Amino acid sequence: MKSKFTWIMTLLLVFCIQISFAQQKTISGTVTSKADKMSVPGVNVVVEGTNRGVQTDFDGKYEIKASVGEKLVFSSVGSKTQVVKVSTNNVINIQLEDENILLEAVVIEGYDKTRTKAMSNVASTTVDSKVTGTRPNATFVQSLQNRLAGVDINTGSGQPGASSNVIIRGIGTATGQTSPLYVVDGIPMTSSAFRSINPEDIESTTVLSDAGATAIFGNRGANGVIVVYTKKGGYDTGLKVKYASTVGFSIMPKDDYGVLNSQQLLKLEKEYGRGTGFGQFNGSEYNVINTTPLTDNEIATYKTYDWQDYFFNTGLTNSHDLSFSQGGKNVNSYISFGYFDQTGIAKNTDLKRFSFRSNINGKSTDERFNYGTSFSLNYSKQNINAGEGSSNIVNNPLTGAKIGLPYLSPEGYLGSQDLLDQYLNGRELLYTTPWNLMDYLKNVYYSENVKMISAFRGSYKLAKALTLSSALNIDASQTNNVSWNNPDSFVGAYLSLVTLNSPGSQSENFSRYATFNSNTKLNYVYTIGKSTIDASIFMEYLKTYTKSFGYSKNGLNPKSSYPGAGTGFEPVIRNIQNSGNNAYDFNAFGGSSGLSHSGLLSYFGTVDYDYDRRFGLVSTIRRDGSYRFVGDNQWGTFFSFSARWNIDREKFMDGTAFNMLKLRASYGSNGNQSINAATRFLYGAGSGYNNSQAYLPGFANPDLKWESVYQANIGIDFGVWQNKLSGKVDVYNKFTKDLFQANPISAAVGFGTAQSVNFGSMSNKGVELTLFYDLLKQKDGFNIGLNANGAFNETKWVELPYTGVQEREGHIYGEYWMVRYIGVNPDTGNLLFLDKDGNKTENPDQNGADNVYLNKSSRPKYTGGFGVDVDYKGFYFNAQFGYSIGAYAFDYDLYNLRNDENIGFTNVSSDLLRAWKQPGDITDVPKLHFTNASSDQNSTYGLVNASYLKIRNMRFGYVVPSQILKKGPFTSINIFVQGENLHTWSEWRGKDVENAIFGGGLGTYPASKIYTFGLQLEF
Amino acid sequence: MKNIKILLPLVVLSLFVFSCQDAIDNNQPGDLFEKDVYTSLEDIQRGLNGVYSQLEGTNEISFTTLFTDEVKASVNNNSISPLFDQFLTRDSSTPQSMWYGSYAAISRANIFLDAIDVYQPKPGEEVAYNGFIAQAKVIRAWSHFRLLTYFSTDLTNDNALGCILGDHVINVKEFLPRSTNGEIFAFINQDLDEAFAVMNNPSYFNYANNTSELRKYLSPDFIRAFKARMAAYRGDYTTAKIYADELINKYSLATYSTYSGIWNDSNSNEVIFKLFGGSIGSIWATNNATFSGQPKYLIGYNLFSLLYNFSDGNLASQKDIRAKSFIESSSQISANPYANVALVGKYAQSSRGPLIADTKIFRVSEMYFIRAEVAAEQHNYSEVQAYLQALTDERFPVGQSPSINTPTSDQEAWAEILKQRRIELCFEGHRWVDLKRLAAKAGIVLDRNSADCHDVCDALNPATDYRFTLPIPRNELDGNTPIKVQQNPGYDSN
Repeated sequence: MKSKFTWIMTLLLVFCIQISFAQQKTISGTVTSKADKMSVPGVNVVVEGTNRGVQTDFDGKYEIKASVGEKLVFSSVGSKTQVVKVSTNNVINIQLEDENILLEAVVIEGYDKTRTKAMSNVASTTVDSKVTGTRPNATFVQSLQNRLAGVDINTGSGQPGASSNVIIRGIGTATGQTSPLYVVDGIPMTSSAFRSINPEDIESTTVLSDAGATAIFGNRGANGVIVVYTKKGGYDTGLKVKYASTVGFSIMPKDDYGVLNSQQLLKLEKEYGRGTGFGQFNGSEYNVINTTPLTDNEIATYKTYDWQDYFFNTGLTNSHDLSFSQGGKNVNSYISFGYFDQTGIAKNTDLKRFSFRSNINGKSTDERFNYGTSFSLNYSKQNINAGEGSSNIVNNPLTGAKIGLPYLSPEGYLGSQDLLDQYLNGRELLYTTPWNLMDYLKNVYYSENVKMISAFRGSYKLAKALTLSSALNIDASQTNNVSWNNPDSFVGAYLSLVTLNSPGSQSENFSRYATFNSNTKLNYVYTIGKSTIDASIFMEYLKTYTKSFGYSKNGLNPKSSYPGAGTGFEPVIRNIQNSGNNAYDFNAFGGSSGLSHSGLLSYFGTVDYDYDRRFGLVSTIRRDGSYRFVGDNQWGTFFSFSARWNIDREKFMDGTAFNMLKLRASYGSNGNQSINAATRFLYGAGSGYNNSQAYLPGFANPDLKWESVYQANIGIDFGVWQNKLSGKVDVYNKFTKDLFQANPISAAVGFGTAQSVNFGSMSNKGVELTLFYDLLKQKDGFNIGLNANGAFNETKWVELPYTGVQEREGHIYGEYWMVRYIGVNPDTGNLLFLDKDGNKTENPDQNGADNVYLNKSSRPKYTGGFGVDVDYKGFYFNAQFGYSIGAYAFDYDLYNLRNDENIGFTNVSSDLLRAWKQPGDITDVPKLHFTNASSDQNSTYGLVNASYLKIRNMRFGYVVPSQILKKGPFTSINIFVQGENLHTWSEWRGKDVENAIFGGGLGTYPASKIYTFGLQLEF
Repeated sequence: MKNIKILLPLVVLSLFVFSCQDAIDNNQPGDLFEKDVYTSLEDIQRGLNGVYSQLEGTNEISFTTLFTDEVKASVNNNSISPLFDQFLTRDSSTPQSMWYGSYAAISRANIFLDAIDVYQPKPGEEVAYNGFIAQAKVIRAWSHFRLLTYFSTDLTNDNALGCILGDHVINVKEFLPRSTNGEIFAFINQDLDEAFAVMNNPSYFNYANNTSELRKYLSPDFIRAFKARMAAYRGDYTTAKIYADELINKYSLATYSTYSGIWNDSNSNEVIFKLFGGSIGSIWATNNATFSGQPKYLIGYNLFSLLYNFSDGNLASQKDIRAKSFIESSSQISANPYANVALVGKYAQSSRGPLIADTKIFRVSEMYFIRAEVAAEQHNYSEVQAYLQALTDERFPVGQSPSINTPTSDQEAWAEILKQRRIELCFEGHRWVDLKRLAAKAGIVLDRNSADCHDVCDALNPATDYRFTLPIPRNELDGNTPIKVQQNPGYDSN
């Protein structure tokens, strides 16, 4: 083996300095964890009484020079320190026992770098599989909610498999991408694909927050980085089979709008003068058939139907995971199969996933060569509610169900044709909403995804201190979206009426990307005296090939058509009545196709200096080239410096309660290149005047470059009373300049109102705190651990290119600029507002003159969570709470349900029963037919505090003690019940306050309450 | 051997480094650069098709219909435009789309004229090539005129502020102020004269082939009509008379029997130019123009009263063909202005579908009105009556048209012209400009029936109200500093 690599050694000789130690031999070995037989990286191996020390690498291996009789000390935070005397044996394998359950045993940094906590300079937090595993969430990101300080994770949609919105340390861009970079087993990727990754396979998740940690990711690290490692086997371990299963059900959270029953609504309609209660049976103002209002007796005969019961049902969750791990002397493996099936709480929504993973690691006998491969193949299929998030009442049950008239019932639905006839006769869609929604369920929308992630990494120790490593990765994903409008549905029939095609339509969109990523690293470690220098140089190549195509077809045969199948396409028929330019085809096909390449090329290096394990300095420099930018703007340079002082190692700290105290500081830069704007002037061939072919010039800005983020961070990591209390505090100031945004341009340029430019700046300032406290720690008795995290962040606009109203220099991000609503005028029953000077008025200026900045933002100020872990003789209980404080959102559902103009068309909130009646009434609901309605949308009338406290997860379980298991085939049995999103305290009256924080919440899928029973077996 | 040990890795390394450069290659599959676009006459035709596609004629229609006295809101319209409440600011939609849309056309024409300059026409191609250049210049001139019409305070004053002169491809880093009307008109006339010289040539434009299809393209007659209208707007009635007469002699009015076919594009009688159009009818209705098509705006009662004659009986028996053509047949007519549901039927449908029709930019009817204006300017009241009567006669069954009284004063003459324009040219985007130009002479103000009112219902006086000039939109003010001090009166400039 050695001889094959001579030539590399020759080349790299310049880097190589031989260090030899007299009369010493080389001791090597692997450190594994006693608990799970996994290798433990970052363990400090020190020859006692000397300054000779190394750390175990990512595979838990170490190599150190020592003489016979010397003692090796193996220590790692969170584990019991072990001391072994060097004998004639050259291999010393160690099994470390956990000292306590501390989440941050090892600090994972970028590019496979791990360190002990004491030696890390950066702000990062790691959670292990205990947090992300066995939760009934389709993506592991959901399970991270409220666990990581400063990481605001929001389930914008609770639809099974939907992506979460993740924002680390506030929004740092005006128009660019805000989601962090994810690095899974060393492979950079975007979040949209996570519905295909099995959360059970994930070993650890680390968030890197400060520039000291993220600068090494250069152009992609501006929004923070989340580093994920999947599970693997350990060397010299027997076969371990693990089976985990959860079954459970999910239910729709209730809203607090209080819609009316039939009697209440009919009486209100009668009073208001519109709708069935008023004698108009048709839901149309023009076709008044009967204007005799219903009598009280007639009203009493109506039944009430709750349309939410029809559209929302109990969802089922069902998952099975089987994994095998095993290791020989030179090779180990982890193989897993997963099945996950979750039906949503809204009809026609679900997610099914099959996943396979194989992680294999090996090494040469002389341990100079190490390699690892990981391969995973996943398939998922998601039936979706296509109208989700829209205000469209006839295709989104989340908007439409709650406004459905209670005196209509499913029996009233007489089929699509009847619905179409009603519509064509002028009946309001608002009136027939629930029937239209029933009809809409005939249509099918689904998305299939096949995702393959494979990685190879290898390293070769060229010399004692010099290691060459390389990683080659492929991330490929293929998505097919199918949209099928049933020819027998209202939508299918109506569209055909408008377009004169045959009823029904189907469209499919296929997209595929394949990303090739390679990363080569040369690492050199040099120790002299008390100083250690660890330097690396890297080169990274990334190229993505994207391909898409799609078609749409009008006209489906109702008998033979099937969603996603090509059966039942009606033939294309030439319209023979027209000729020339007016002739066209019925049932025509439409098609689209796309092809693009994108890539990045990066060179970077890092130097890590440690003195006596007391002081550390790390500096990173990275140069990135991007395909997006042209000329001189193609390359950008990013850097960082970070430093630490391990105060606990100072003499003066001896005898204090601190077993760990470390001060960290960092400053550095990152880039954001995830922007979508042209940098080159190109022409397009397209459709021109009078259905002709045309060439059309495009617009571009060749001066575009990276958006740059500069971040300063100061942090303290501490542990007192032998880590009974431990935690960390970070303070940061993040400043984004060259903001990528739209700069207004003169019309005379000819290309719209604005050009994409780099201009302006914004800042994020904040504090993060993480705490762990062992309330009670008894061997074989009660153990109670508490955890808490919290973050404060404020985002401010510093410099902007335009005089917009919602964004303004010096103001906070997402600040509301509205007219202040103060209540209902007791004298008139109208809404009462304040003008800009604070005087009461019923008619504020609609042009914005009475709007004020409210110092209230759509983004929360404080976010975090806290939890408790209890165990007693195998029984365990844990609960995790999440909170978010300070965000405000406009409640459109409330606004619509409280809007008296909807009476007669839809159901409304019981709030309207409190409507102002006569002068002197003190109420919060204006009179029916109040006269200043046009002022309310621009005011705080519908603005609600979206702060919340949520029981995120609660679990109770039992781990069967090993004494009992000795006779049986199992090595471990763990059974548990758990609940997700069990309760929320909030002023928000909708189903899920989290919907509100991202996107206003109108018609968005709420996160459901999920109850599951789980079982884990090992044998 | 030793050399190989050093060389080999170097070679391997260099290959690796150079092959990596492809990652940051800017080029994408299918990139088309300007230098590769225009290599044949057909390419130039396609480039011109792109310039044409920037022409747009529905903004003036939607703005006029909402802002003036043509419509009322339908009862189930829950998103009534602020323009209907006469709420007009630099943030309103129309100023923005009108200003930016017109300049998009000017810019595409300029880019086109620059880019095709590299092409050397082959023998036999010169006529067509020069014709393409001429059409681009007409588009440029027309778009400038559109800007002046809506953004200049006073078209009759050459010293008043006009728009930014778009005589070249304007760079993002150029910041240009508004020029005066006189400067812009000079540029328009220069473009039109150059284009006319090329296009008014039988080998280029043959009137005998002036079919419905050809009337969607710019022609010498378009230039004539353009010049007639521009002259009338400027108060230059000498020029207006020349071109209006030429066109009246060339195009006959549509008759009672052919009139309704103009609107569903089954014929192009009396149409001098129409823009290939999209869904114009969706200004007034959501799904289709019928009673059940979810109407948004209905015909305002005062305009309705001018079109509809209750003594004729029901809608189907109306004698004025314009009543039957402009009021959709499923309307529910009532003498009660509040209950009357008169649906806009002018763009009900064409063979391309409901609410879709070509936008009629110039009809010869307008030339009759211009001729009447010329006569009014000359105090020749009988000629005013004669032109208006000639048009009205074609709108009724033979011998059944009402006679128009001969005016006895200038004011009566202008008022009658304005009234007849209101009837004939309704929903074609004329009313706002006509009120701006002629309301003072005619002694009238905005004429909305109180039954049509929504939140605001002021009888605006076009002669004095600042809203009869559009504001320079906010983005222009933000993006072009010199123009900040040139905002039109009555509007915010910051």
